[in-house]
Amino acid sequence: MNELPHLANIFDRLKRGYHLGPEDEPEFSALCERFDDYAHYFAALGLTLVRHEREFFYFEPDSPESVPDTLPRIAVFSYIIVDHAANQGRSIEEFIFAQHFFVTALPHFALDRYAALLRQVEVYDTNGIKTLLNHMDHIGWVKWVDEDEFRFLRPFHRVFSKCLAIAQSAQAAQPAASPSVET
Amino acid sequence: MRYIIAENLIGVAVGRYQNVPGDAAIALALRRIIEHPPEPPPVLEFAAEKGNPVALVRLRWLDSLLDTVGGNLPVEDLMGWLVEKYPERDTSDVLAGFSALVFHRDFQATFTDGAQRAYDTANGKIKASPLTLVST
Repeated sequence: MNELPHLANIFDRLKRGYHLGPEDEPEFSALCERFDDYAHYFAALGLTLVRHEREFFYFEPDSPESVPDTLPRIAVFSYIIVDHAANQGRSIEEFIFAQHFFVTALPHFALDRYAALLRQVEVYDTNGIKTLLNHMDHIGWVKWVDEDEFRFLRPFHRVFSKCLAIAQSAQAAQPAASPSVET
Repeated sequence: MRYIIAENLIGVAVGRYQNVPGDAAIALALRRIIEHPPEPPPVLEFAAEKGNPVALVRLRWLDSLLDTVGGNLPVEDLMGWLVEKYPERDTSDVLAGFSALVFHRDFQATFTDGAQRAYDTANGKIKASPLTLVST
């Protein structure tokens, strides 16, 4: 049988920039089972379907190096949560992915240096954070579980893993001046 | 394996409207933050010293002496008046004040025939003949 299941739905979501992960059934299982078929299909349209090593899927962007408007905000938001997690005395990954977060309890405005980073990307209050999280929700990096409560989804690894790697290499280069990040 | 694209997908061009950041873009955005954290703007110190400079305070005190002594004329014993009114002033200040008043054009200073006296300042002692100060 050649017909690819849930093809229209998968395409519709991926084309919007969404990352399909384990939360997105039945599309996720379909992609896992027949990744090569889907990738071949989309390649005919000039689209590259990426299967991330952490097991989720997305379309490779046309211009991988162009920085979308919202990305700097996401990067700052992510860096702060990772930096905060590094000081919690437990695995950063577990801290990020194994719990829910309340927007009002986030550490992003708790420290002056965090607030300064956010000001640089024009995020001034929790409403700005919520707008940012809404965008991350649209691309499948976080999921709202209540009006003020969210959790990170597996595709957030795209930022999380890089953030860790860059922070650690910066720390190694300048141990005294870099933020403390532990794995 | 063969698929009929047109059956399933309408408006493929819409597929170009992705908002997926590439790995390079993510890394670039993160590097800008981690490797180049913002530095607070420099604070411009408009006042070189937070408190009043000592020399300025002294100068203001000397200037104020003119009005103060002007309301107390005639002063029979200028040095005695100074050490009594400003007991916290040291010898240097008292002598500076004395000189400023003695040589000011608005006042006339005259030594009396009295015997030399000793005047206590905050940090020493001055021996001098009494001097009368009047308005010119």
